[in-house]
Amino acid sequence: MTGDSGAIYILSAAGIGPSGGATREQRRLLAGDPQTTDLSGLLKELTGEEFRRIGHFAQLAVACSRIAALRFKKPIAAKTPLYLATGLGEALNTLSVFAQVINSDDSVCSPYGFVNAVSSTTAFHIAKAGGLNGRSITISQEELSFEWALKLAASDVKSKSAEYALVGGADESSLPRQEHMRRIRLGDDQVMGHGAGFLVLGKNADHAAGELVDVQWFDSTGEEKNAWVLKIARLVERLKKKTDRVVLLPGFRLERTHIASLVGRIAGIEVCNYLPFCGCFHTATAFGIASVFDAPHERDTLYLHVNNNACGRTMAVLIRAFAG
Amino acid sequence: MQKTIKIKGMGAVTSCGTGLPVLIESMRAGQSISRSGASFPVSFGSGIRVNQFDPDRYIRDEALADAVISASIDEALLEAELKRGSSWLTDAALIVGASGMLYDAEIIYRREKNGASAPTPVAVRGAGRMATDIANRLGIKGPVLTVTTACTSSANALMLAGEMIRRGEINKALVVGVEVLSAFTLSGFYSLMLLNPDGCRPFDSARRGVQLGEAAAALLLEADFAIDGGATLCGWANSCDTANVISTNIDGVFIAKVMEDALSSAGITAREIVCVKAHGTGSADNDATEVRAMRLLFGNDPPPYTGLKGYIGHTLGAGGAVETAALFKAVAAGFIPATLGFKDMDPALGSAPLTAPIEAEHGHYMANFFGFGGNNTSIVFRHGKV
Amino acid sequence: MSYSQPGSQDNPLKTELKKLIIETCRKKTSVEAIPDDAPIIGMESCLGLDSLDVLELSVVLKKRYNVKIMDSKDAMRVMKSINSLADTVALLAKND
Repeated sequence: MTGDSGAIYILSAAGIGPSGGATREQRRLLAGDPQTTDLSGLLKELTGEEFRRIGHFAQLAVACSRIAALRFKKPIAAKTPLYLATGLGEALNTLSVFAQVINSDDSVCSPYGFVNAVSSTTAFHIAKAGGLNGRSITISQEELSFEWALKLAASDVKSKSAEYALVGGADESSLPRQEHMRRIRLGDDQVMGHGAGFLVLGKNADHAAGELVDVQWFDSTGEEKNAWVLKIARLVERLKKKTDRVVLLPGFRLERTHIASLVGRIAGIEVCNYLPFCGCFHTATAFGIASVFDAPHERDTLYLHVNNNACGRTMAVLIRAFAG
Repeated sequence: MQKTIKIKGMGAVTSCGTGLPVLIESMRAGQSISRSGASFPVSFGSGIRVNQFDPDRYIRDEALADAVISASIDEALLEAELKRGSSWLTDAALIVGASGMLYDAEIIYRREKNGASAPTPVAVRGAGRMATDIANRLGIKGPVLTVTTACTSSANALMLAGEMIRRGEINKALVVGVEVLSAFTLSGFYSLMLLNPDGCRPFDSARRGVQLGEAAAALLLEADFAIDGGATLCGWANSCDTANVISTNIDGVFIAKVMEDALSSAGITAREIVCVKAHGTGSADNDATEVRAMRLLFGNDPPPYTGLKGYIGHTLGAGGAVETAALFKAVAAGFIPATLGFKDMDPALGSAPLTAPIEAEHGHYMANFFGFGGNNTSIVFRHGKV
Repeated sequence: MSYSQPGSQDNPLKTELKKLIIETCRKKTSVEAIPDDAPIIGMESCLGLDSLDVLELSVVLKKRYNVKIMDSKDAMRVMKSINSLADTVALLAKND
């Protein structure tokens, strides 16, 4: 995406935190693990429809996608591609169907439950609620799910195969806590989280809230250990404009030492930790990046989001939020 | 010179056995190995037919997916004259298509259910984790991503790999599709009344539902500038039909449009299609919709079409990769397989798929994949020089 | 074969089935708002049920009344209206 005049603009954004709110005023610092909130009222308000069969994860994703689309004041073409990222998908619902199948004598499960657990179902509901019938891809790549979805969506816009792209990520937490934390390789002392974030991308700068500057992946295994820190620092130096304020958004897998080295290598960078508002989940990046646009910016601000996965891969997302 | 996307190597493990040659022989002979569902702990197991991995060779434990994926990758590497650890793999992207990974959770749960420690209720290793593990094992340093769109998962993995190569974002990709069946999946299809106890009968007047199967397949894709025969990936399209979450709109208009979009992505017209690999699940409405869509696209002079699920079952997330590999191995061997399971034409459809193998011509082939969540994918390939 | 009255003349059964549908399909309506003889499947019908609702109801009917419906087309026929559903439940539940 770099070294090219084909900029990709962020036309609107929405992030829903564990409390169910999608504005700065509704954000709450998490005191502990979040509770699952029923979003059916919000969905009804946003779409005028009853989503009587969908689960909490789909509620999060559909509601967030609608808020992002509605914040973009213009209609989005029906053929707009949709990229949904999720680490665990329908975690709660899948657990419930699993229990039905494994513990019952007749091996019969709820058709609603099974269909909800199918991996393409939530994107179907997002497309339906948004009047979309174009490409619909769900990406599940653990901690880097949203980063890849964003890269694919940006490529569609950049290659001019689409005028807009709708891209987002969502995940929910499940119980028992210990099992959930084990699934996403988190320690007992970390805060469990859930939420969603969606962006509308486009190639027209009118009313843009910001731009997507770059999405890059780095190998952080073996000999290349920590070489990625240097590469990211160079990338920021190259892409930063003189007037930019520069802010680091650390992903939930980024260690303190990594944050310290990034701060040490990038002059003037500030750190903004969004995780206390959403907790840790695979697609927290989507929430973190979307919620940057909750408040207006006094200056153009270059945000650097960095996250690792647990297996030696790192991805960096660079976005610029415009002043005003 | 125009860039082509060459399929450099293919490998698969299916219910017919390990490796594509055994599947090709099965397709040439018009026979399949279909086991009963006995090895799945479901109450209706004895009444359904399932295409399973060879139980003598593959133990149903947590390592099953890795075993079948490894065998598929090794076969693909062998065809491409590559070794594990070669720099080809180091630079490649890994794109996995898988619909879900609940079989291992079930295995662990059943094993630990009566033990001292509380059992793990659900998968500790999702499809994304599996992809990362494969990449680490093979020393892949390129992009690693997993597509989870149910029955179109690995078809979409092929599409995304093709697209990333066409855009110059990557030069090489290993595409893997995998589906290991579980009681969860079988029960889901059973509860949706989609299983046909008599097995898969694509496009037949007596078709009543699907027969599920498990499979793994690997395809090595590479950007190439030479046109030297073999199979190349030429065009693709995916779309989401929001009419109904469990079936596509019966009039066929929507999936005809996906096929048309795949043709324009490949830069060809409908007349240039030599043969269509239909989705052909054997379910009453889906097959009817597919025939209507082909009629809309091809008019009164349609190319021959065939379905492969009679040989290997509906392999869900693995379908895109395994059916592509099966078709092009057969085509390379000189024939297009007949539609196993089809006997009598449905007067309501007024159309029949291939009932006997035919000679495989050089030209463009279309492969269609339709799934839950209204997710529809059509891919155009080319075989040999055109 | 059952010789008792058909379910479509059994008002308590029909009320019970209406409640069951409202609860299972999470519909925001009342028992009184559902006529006995009108279609319940389709966008234009009084309940607006679709094929997935019919499958969910089939599972619930099996659990509640041991009514076994094995084919989705049969299920759609059985659930044409409250009357047809009540007839089937009355007939099959007793014969099993």
